[in-house]
Amino acid sequence: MSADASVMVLCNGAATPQNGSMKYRKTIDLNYMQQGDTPANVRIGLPAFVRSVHHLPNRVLDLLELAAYVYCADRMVSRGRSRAVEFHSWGRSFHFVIKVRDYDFWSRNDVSECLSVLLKFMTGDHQYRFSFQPGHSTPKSGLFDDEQSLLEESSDVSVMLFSGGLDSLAGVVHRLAVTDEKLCLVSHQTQTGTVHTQNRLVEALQIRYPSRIHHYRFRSNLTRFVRRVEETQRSRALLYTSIAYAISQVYGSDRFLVYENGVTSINFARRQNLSNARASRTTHPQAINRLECLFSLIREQPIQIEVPFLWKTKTDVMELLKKSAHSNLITSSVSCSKTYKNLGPATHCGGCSQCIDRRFAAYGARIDDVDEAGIYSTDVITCEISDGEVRTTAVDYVRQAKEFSEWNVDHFFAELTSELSDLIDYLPGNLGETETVEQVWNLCRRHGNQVATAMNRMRNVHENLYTTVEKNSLLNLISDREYLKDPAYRLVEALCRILPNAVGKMFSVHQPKDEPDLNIKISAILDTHHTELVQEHPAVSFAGGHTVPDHGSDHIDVFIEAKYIRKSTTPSKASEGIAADLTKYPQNKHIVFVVYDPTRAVKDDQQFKHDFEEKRRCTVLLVR
Amino acid sequence: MGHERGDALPHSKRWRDVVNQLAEWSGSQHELEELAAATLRNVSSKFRSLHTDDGVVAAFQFLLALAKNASSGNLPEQSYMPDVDLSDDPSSLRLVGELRSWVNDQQDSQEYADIAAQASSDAIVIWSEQKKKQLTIFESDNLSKDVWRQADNGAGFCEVSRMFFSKFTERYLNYFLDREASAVMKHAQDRDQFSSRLRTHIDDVSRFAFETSRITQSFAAGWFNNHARDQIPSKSQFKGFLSIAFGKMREELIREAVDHER
Repeated sequence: MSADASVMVLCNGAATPQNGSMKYRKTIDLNYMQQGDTPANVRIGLPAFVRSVHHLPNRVLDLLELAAYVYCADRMVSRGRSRAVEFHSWGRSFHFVIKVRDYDFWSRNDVSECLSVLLKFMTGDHQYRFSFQPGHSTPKSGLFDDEQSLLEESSDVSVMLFSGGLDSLAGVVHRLAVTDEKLCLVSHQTQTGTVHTQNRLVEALQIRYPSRIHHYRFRSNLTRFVRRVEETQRSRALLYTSIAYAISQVYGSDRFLVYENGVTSINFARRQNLSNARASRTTHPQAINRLECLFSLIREQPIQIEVPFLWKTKTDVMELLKKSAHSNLITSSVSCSKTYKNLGPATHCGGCSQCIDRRFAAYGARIDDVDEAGIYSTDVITCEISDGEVRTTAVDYVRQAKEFSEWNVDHFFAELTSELSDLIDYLPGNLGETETVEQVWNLCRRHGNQVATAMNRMRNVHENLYTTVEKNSLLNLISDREYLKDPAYRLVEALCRILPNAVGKMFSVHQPKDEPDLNIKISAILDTHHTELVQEHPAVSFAGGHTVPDHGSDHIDVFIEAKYIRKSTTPSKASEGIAADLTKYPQNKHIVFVVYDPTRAVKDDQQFKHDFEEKRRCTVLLVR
Repeated sequence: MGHERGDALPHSKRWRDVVNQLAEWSGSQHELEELAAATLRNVSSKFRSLHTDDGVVAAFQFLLALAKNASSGNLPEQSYMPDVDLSDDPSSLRLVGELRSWVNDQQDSQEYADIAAQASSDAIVIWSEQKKKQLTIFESDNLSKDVWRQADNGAGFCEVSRMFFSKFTERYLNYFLDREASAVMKHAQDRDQFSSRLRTHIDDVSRFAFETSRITQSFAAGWFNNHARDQIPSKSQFKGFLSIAFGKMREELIREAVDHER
C-alpha cells in the first residue's frame, strides 16, 4: 500500500499524531459536537439514545461514536467510478484517530487488530488503522444518566436489528408468534423515508402485540453541509450491530438477533467484477463472527449474534409471512437499496438486486397479489427493461439461480471454492467440512428451484393469448422457453438439427471406412458446434469394468453413440448394440444414437426409433 | 444487505467497440476469439505488468510451495515463500483458505490479488481432483502430499502453471466482460453459451501455449529444473517466469483471433 493514498480521519477533536511519518492524501475532521469555533459536521444522536436507556458505560459510548464516525467517513470518501477500467480506487485506506473515554481498552493491540480485520473484510477496503487518544468526555444525557439507573435486566427480552425490510419484519412476526418474549427492535435511522417505514411498521405491530415491542432508534449521519460522495455504505453493519449490542448490554443479555436470509447473507458474487465486497458481505457469516469477537472483547465475556434465518431463502421468508396473520404488512416493508433516488409514489426502485430478489420471492411464495407491482417504480417483469444495469442485475440473478439448481455438490464446490473458503469456518454448528459445504449447496439449490417456480408462476399470471409479451421484459426473457430447458434437452435438440443433415452430406460421395472412421468425422462436426463434447469420454463404470461412450461431456448429461449399418453390421446387430448401451450407461444420461444407414436397411424408421425411445431417455437419429 | 455495485465498462470508443461486439455476438467462434483479443488489447499494458504485482506473484508461489512441501518437508526458510503444512493431509478447501490468507498478507493491488487467488484456487481444485482420481486405486496415508508431490517435476509444474494462467486469464477477461454482457446480449442462452465457450477457448489457448508450443513447455520445464528442482527460486525469478507466461498467453490469444481472420 502506498502511504500517501491513505485518508486520516480525526474524530472527537483528536490531534494529528506527531510521531507518524505517514503521508496522507486527505485529512478529515469529524465531530458531532462543536469543537471551539468549528461546528459539528456529523450528527450522532447519542444523548437522545442514552436518555432512552438512562445510561451506557463509557466503553459502549466510545463504540457507538467510533462506529458512527467510520460510517460517516465511509460515505465521504469515494470508492472510484463504477466505469473505471479496473477498480483500484475501490479499496481505500483509512487511519482513524479518535479521542475516547476508555483509552486503556481501545489502545490495546488486540482491539485495534480485531476492528481492522473486521472492517477490511466487511467493506473490502484496503486498510483500517486506529489510533486512540485519551481525554474524551461528554455531558450526562439526563438526570438518570448514572450507573445506578440501569434498566432492569430481563431474561425474557430479545434484542434484534430492525431495518424495516422484509426479513426483519418476518423475524419480528415469527419471534412474536413462537415466543412470549418482549422484543427490543433496534434501528439506525438516516433518511426520512426509512424512518417513516420503520416507525409505521413498529406502530402496526405494537397495536397487534401490545406491551411486547420497544423500538430503540439511533440517528446518525453527516450534516447537510457535508457532501456524501459514496452510497455503497459497506460499513453500516458495524454501526447497526453496535447499537444492538449497546441495547443488549443494557438488558444484561449476551446475545442479539439479526434476521437476514442465508442466500443474501452469503451473497455469492454473480459476476467476476463483484469481488472485494462489491457484492456486499455485511451479514456474511465471517463478518458476523468477527463482530461477535469485537463485542466479546468489549464486554469481556462471549457475545453471540444469532442469525435465525441463515438456512432460509427469501422465498422461505416470504412464505413465513404469508402463513402469519400479518401478510398485509408486507407492502409496508421496504427492501430496496436505492430509496435515496426519486421514486415518485413508489417505495421500491424495482431494479436493484434486493427488489428483484423480493419480487421473485413473492411469486415463488404465490403472494404476488399482495406484494404487487404498484410499490415498484419499475416493473421489470412485464415492462421493457431499458436500463443496462437493471437488465444485468435481472439476467444474472436468473442465471445464478439456474446454475444453483443444476449444479451437483461437486461442481458447486469446484466453482465456488474460493468463496467457500471465506465462509466455511464461520458457519454455526459442528458439522464436518463436507457436510457444511453440502448444507450451503442445499440452501442455494433450494433457492434456485424456488426461482424456477417463481418464473413459472410469472408466466401463468401474466401470459395470455390476447396480449404480447413486452420485448426485453423479464417475462420475455423467461417466456423464451429455450432458456428454461434442461441443458441436456437443449443439446439434444441442437444435435437433432445439426447431425442428420451434416452427416448425410459428408458421406454423400465417400462413405466412412468403418465405425471408428464415422466417429472421427462426427467428432469433427461436433467440434465446430459443441466443444463441450469430447470423443471417447467419459469413462463410466459398469459391472466391475469400464465403458466409454463415443462422445460425451463432463457437464451435460448427454452421451452420443454412433452405429454404422452395413453388410457386417445388420440392423439387428445394431439393435443389439443399442440395447447393450441402454443397459450400460447411467439412467441420468440422455443417449443420442446416430445410426448411419446409407442403404436403408432399416425398413420402418418410426418403429425402430419408437422401440428404443420408449424404453428410456434416448433419441435415435437415422441418417442417410 | 445483499447489495451489488452496478459496474460498467468505460465510455471510451475502444471499450464501446467491445460492448458492441458483445451485443452482436452471433455464436461464432471467430467473433468470440476476436472479442477476447480486443479486450486484452484494451488492457495490454496492464496485462504486461501483472508479473510485477506482489499478490499475483504470491498466488503463483503458493502452487510451487505446495509441490515443494509435498516432496521435502524441510525447505530452506524464505520470507517470500509460504510454509504450507501438508503433514495432516489438509483438504483442498483448507489449502485454499491458507492460500487466501497468504495472498492477503502479500497483496499489492486488491483487484489483482483477488483474481490471482481465485485462479490459484481453481488450479488447486482441478489438479487435486485429477490426481486423486488416479491415486484412489492405491492406498495413501496422505493424499494431499501424494497429489502435490506429482507437481514437483518439470511436467507436473508445467501443467499446474498452465491451469493457473488459463484460469487467471479467463477470470481477468470476465472481470471486464461480465459487467455488460448480460445487459447487451440478445438472448439469455447466448450469455450462458458465451461464458462457457470463452472458458473452453482460453483453456485451449493455454494448452497450446504450454503444451503444443514447445517454447513455453520447454521454458517452464527448464525454468523448473534450473530454479526450482533443488532450490527455492528468488522473487525476481518468479517474476521472470510470470512475465514470460503472461506474455505467451496474451500473444496466443491475439494470434488465434488474427489467424482466424485470414
